[in-house]
Amino acid sequence: MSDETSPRLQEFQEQVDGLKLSGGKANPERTTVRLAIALFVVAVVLEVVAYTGSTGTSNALEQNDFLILAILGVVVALGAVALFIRASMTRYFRYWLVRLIYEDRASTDRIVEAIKDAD
Amino acid sequence: MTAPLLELRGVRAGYGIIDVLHGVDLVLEPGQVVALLGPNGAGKSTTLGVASGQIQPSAGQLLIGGREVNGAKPDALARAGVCLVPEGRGIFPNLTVSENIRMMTFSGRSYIEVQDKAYALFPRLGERRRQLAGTLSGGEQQMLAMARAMSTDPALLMLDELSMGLAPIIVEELYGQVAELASGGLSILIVEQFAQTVLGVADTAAIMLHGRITRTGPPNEIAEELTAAYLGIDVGGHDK
Repeated sequence: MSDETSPRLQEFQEQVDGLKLSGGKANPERTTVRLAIALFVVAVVLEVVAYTGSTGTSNALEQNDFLILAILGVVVALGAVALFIRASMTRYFRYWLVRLIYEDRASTDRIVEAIKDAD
Repeated sequence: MTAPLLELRGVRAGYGIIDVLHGVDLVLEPGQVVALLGPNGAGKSTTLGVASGQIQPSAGQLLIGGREVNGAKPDALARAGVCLVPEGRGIFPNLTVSENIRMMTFSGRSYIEVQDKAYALFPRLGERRRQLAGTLSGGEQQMLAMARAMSTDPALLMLDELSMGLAPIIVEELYGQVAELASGGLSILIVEQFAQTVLGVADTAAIMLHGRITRTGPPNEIAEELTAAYLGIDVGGHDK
């Protein structure tokens, strides 16, 4: 064991104590996907309420209210789909980028080997 | 600093939905050298990924200097002094030796400073400073990776498969250097698949199998059990 109060360790401890933590997540898209699914469920509920409400009345003014509710449901559904696609694409492109980096490294290694063999 | 320099408590982590670590507990005290051993696919490199902040644990705690740092960004940890030499060396093969070393000025140290430290540690690199890193021998590439790591004056050094693809004599030379660094008080976590050389340097060794640390103890005891552990044979009633 070394001297436990070495200046470097003290400095290290101070820097670690000063770290700003974001509460990192193993799967950062998980929350967005869950939110998108929840929003979609809300949209479906809105549509069902709007449909049953509008068929249950002959008053045109009330039917207008349900029509607005139905349009709101469509907007919420579109937002949910957009969120879902966004999260899925983010995850897909992250893996794609990792794959590209990996292949690029492998390719560089092959080139270096080929140069060595040529020498 | 009284708390362990690095501690993993019940860490679970993996890639996407696949968990690789299933509750890892590991402690590295200041100035200690710990060897983490295990067969291919045991989760050793993933453990280093978690310890360096590159992989976020899905459960459990990562503590550095006694502080929970789950969610800390890897660059912030690197600046603080957590340094990982990855498997495959992690150098830039199409840059020269000196350009590779220049990359370490990210830590805020001057080029002269990092250069002096790197070449003092491995004088052979100084002779090859204009050579493309990819054309160095395997041992020299590993020296470059270590020199880059050491030039930032890390408080915690993590070495992933230092011996991979190298001749035994080169491995011995590199571990001689590691022993020298350890005697200077640096805390080191070494991951290795083939253990004989590293056990001579380590204060403590741990065997990792299937994403769990199954045994921790003095290197001489671990050496006896290692072969059995790799082959999945139960030795002395230890949990495998």
